[in-house]
Amino acid sequence: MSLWAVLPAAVPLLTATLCAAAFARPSLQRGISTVGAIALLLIAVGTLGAVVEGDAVSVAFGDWDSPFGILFRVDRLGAAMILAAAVIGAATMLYGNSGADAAPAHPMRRPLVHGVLAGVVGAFSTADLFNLYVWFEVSLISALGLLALGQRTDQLDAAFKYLALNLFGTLMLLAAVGALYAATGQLQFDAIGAALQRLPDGTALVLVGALTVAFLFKAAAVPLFAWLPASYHTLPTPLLALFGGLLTKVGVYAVLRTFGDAFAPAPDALVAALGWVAVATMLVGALGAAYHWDLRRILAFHIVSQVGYVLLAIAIGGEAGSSAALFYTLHDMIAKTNLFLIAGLMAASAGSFDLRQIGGLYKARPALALLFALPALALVGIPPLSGFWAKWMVLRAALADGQVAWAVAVFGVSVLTLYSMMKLWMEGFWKPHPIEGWRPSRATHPRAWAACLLLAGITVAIGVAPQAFVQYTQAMAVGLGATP
Amino acid sequence: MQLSERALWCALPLLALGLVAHALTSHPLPMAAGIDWIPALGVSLSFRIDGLSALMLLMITGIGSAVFIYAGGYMHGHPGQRRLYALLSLFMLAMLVAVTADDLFVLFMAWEITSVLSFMLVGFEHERGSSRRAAQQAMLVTGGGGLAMLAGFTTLAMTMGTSSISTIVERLPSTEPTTALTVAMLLVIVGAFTKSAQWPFHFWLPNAMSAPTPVSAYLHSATMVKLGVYLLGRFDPGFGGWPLWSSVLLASGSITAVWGMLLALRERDLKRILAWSTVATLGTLVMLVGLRGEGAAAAVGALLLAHALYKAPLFFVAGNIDHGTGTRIIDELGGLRRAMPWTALIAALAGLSMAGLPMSFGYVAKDVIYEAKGAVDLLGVIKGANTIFGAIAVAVAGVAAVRVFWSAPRAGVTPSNAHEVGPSLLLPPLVLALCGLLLGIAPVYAESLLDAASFAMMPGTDPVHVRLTSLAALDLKHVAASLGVTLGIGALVYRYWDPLHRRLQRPMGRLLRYSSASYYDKLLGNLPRAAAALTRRLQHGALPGYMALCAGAMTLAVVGLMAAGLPSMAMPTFDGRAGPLGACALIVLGALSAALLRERMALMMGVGLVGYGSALLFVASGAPDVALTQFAVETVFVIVIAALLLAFRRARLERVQEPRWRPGSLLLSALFATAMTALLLVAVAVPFDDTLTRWYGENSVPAAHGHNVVNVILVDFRAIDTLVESFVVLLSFLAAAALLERLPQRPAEGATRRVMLDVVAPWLYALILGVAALALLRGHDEPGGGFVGGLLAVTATTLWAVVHGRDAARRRLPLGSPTALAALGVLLTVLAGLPALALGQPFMTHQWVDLGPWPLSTVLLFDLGVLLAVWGALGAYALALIDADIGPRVDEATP
Amino acid sequence: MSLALIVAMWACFAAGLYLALSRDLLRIVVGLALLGSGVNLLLLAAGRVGSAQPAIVAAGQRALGDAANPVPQALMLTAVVIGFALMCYAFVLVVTLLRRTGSEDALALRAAEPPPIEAIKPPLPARDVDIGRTP
Repeated sequence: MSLWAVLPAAVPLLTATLCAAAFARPSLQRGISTVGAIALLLIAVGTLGAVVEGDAVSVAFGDWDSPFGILFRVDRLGAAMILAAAVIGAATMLYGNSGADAAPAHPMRRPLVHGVLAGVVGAFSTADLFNLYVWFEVSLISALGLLALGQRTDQLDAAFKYLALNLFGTLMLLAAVGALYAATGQLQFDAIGAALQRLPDGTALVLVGALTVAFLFKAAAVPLFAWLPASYHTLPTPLLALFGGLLTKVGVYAVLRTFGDAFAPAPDALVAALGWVAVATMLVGALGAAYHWDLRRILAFHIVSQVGYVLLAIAIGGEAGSSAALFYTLHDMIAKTNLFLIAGLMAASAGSFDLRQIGGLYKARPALALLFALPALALVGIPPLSGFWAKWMVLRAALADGQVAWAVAVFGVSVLTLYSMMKLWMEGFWKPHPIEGWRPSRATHPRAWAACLLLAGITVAIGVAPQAFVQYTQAMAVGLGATP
Repeated sequence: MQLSERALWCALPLLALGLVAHALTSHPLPMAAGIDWIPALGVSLSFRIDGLSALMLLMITGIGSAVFIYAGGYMHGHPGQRRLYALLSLFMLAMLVAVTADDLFVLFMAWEITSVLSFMLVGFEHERGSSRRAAQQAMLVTGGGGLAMLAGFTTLAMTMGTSSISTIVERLPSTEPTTALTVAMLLVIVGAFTKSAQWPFHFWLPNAMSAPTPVSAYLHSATMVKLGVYLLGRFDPGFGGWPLWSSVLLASGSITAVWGMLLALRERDLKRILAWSTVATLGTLVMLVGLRGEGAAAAVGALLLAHALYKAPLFFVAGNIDHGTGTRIIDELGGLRRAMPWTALIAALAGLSMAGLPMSFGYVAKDVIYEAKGAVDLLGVIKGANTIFGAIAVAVAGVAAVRVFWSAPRAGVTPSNAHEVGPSLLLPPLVLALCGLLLGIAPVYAESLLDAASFAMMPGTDPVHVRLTSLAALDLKHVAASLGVTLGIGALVYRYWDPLHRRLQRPMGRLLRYSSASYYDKLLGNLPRAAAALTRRLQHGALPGYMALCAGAMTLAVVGLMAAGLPSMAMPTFDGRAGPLGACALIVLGALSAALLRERMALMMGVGLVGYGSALLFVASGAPDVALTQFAVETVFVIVIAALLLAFRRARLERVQEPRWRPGSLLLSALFATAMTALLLVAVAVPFDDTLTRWYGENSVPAAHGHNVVNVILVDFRAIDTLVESFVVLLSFLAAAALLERLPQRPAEGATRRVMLDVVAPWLYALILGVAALALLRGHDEPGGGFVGGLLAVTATTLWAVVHGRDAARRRLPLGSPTALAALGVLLTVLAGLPALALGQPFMTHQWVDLGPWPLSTVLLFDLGVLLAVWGALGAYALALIDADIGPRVDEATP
Repeated sequence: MSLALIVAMWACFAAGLYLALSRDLLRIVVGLALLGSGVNLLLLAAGRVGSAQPAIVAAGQRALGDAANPVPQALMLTAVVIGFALMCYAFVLVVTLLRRTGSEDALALRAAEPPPIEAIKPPLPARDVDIGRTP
């Protein structure tokens, strides 16, 4: 039994509850929220330290033998994801305290933000399938609250679409969980996995497939992705960055658990299907980004595209594929969140999110340009940034597995991503501003800059010294029961 | 920029040049060094300097020094001068790494970084659209090629088991050329071709002339574009004997050489003419790499050096002309030798070398090439191509040197304001051109360097000795033989430059429609169209469409999975039991009426029937707790929907004109339902494993002290589910709070005249709360529990609010605030798990203290927490909605 | 397998999706609620419908005799409560939307994703949606 397994989920839950209780006292609420965010970060580091040597930390609630109680087990995969979530939470909260496209200062904002964090971290910690569903619900309701918080018409519109589609998806997840329970009589990952081995192949295929489809919904894979580009762009920047960096990654994490760990080995047909779904996702995301001109909508489609890369790595499987999937996820969480935050800074300086209405930022704000370049190049996969290693690991895995078509897809979508980032650069920074004699806004946002620099620093650090990270992900992949 | 700062910047490449020269003269080649970097991926920071690297290093630092000094003068007064120097310095560093890297992926990293820096430099004047587009084109082509090359490198490294370039090149000749390796080789070639602007990837280079002249001289003639040739030269000892290597290089190189020169004839801008001739020279270089034999290796080295020494000065000349006259169009230039004498001298020296006339290093190089061509059995086509290349090179040299400077000055051709440029713009090219002259007269100074370079490009370990013809050993007959044809044709081309230009416009224009440049343009133009078409189809903004797509995908997935799994699936069987017919009939009736009846009231009725039917079903299935909860929840639902419908009836809302029968949706719904039912049936077909059920049944009383097994599961065995569920309930209100605040309140009624209710209210309130408490207390052993108790408590609060108003009801709540109450509830559920920690047990291990007939336990605390959470959150909803005016009226849009 | 239960579940799913595909906001929410009911029935069926005895250990006994399966009941309770919490929010959102837009039509929800105007590029974001800039 270990406290490290409980604390990561407990801290944001308690923070949210206490913030809710303190809703009438903004300064107290702010203090609780800050303490909670820092505590989560520190605990996440501690949990990582506890598992980095190999053994997972776990706690069987109520001291009941598994599989009769609920088990939390945090292994290398979970610990890395929890730490990434904590970092993103801290960075976006820091940004949210600055003035750059800040979220409305409603007393319910902080509890809901911590609610999102709680849902995400809880999902990373649990080893029980029904419990996973409940944590998904936590994230869902918190996200809905945050979407509608500003109460603009477009935000309400976005909230409703998010609600309708995600509720459908959640019900599908519950149905899949129910079906798995029906066939195995178990609810815990390990127990279900063991029971699946004893089932006839066809039945196992159908059940695991149904579960995977539900998780793919949450991960915004094609063709179940429409809810994301329909709603994300209405959010204020810090919330958008939080959502963009975190929420889809829980779905991806769940798919990785299903394929690589709990219910491995996955049936071949399913793996191949996942691969093609991934290719479609990459393409649709990249083309959607090429179509749009609003910074937020472009980046929202890039979320979808990057999810495709991770799903492809999961489909390739094995040690190479699983380690590439985790590495890519971690890189993407940091870089994507940073891009959203920087887009907020760009809009604050230039006056609009739409590329057709801004320009001249390179001359006016060269530091911002450099800051933008770092996560943008990382997303494209230019060395020596984190994205290069991530993309290369996926490419390596695909080539090693003999998947030529998938490797070609990786190549093609990378070129499209390059095109998209160049479009952002050329239209937002290089092109002169459409208005004659335009001057950028004078406001400075030190906290926002601090958050962005922190994230950019992580991207560069992973890029220049990836050995530790690669080793970690490879150890994780081996520990997942994947064959090298 | 101050002179001192300029000096500092210029010191960088000079220092590098000094270091390189020192290293080369004091250490024998090859030099190698390396450290481990990412053993997990097989990448190490290893470096190796051999002859080819040495040649490139000297070029990079040498030409670099010239460029930096030139840029000081050329960009004087430009606000971006510092930015230019910074980018050029970074670029130089990247090039140094690229030509000395001995690890495939370190090389790739430097390669990509040079592409990015080239992008930044080509788009230096970024306010101009044409610069931006040129930069984009360069980046897309070289970036795409780079990615292809990465795939090739990865395959190579995986197959050969190492990423060390020298090791791979050593092993390649004895390796079997499998398909994978051949494809890898071709991908590497593609990468090199994009970088070195070979056909069909050649079109980006002339457009890159949007960059300032120092950049064009450095990147796009002397260093970056040579990187592809360097790569091919590096791999030549390895791949040389393989099928396709030579043929691809020879073919593409020759085509590029000819095509590039022909396209030069179409240009009027001096810089673009020089650019196309650079393309052609690169083609020749590639062709020479493809040639087998010692002479060819020597020729590569010689031409590399010669080209750098004449092309850079010519670019500088173009820049000087630009500065001095304001134009680069050759039609507007002529007879400049009086106005710009020094520039004319430089142009003459460089032109000499380009034309390959004796006394220049260009001649020496041409000589070596001639020997190389003669030594091998070559296709006539290739020889001819090379001849054409040489001829037009002479013509270009003529244009750049003779026509611009020595043609008779005429009015309307010589700009009136033409003036000579400053010393910092003259010295660097002069030095370079003089080097070319020196090496032409006494090529022995270049011999050891070229020896080393050729050695690096030859397989095996035999030392190479390059024979360079010095001026002294010139043999007139030999000169005539090697040069005669090209000089003759070249002179003709020069003489008839303008007529040729006019003649070639139309046929080449037609040919160019099928060129790769136009394909690139078409691709780039069609991309937004394709993106728009796809995205508008998929992301159309209509919710029903999205829903249909998701449901359809889910259905298809389940059906597909079943089809795939059918052969080895357990088939469901029926045991002929009918089941609770009445309740199910109610459910079916409710569902169908809600879906199919037009009346909106049918919605309420249908939902109610489904809910109550389910509750009855649960009762009939032995699930009393669930039934109670379902009953309570459904009642709330029905009340809410009724209230909504009644409120909306009053308003003039824009009703939705929807047909009653939507056949598409009907079909999809039926299929979807069938798929889900089939999913369940498949799952249920497997014999049930009742391990969990039996264990719970056996341990509920002895270990968890509870008779109501369902409740025990909820608050003890699977307590975390319930804890998080309470959290969800709390969050639900938090999420809705912002929206609820905005609902306007109906004005509070005056003092109530409901005396009857006034008197009864407190008793009723207490009674209901008492029942709630009872439900809580007995829940562990009989149907009841925290949730039911919470719902009852909410009823009490609602009652009080109806009678005395919401503020009174709010004050009557414990803690005076429903939000705080709900938060307290969640905290209590967490608190209930803490005593276990104090005792060293896992979280949420419930503790029991026996106090007579009533065992006190953390279970009760936990369940109380659930009750309070529900009471608080749902009570908050109720209080917010009770006096709210939910009737539709259009609000002002939010600021 | 209880046939009636299967039919009831089928009806809930079919009716639920049919309503959720509607254009009327209220019908969509009700449809989702029906889908939720359907999933609850699925959970009940998953636990195998057997004895109709409540899963309560008789007084004096130490183990559960022949009774209904308590596990799906616990899952269903949790699902019902969570679904209820979400539905509460959904209704409040619908009310707010109706008050704001005056329309019950889901196809009128085009504020976040406005329809395209020109051939290739998407429409510019509206002033209040974009960060306001000086004209």
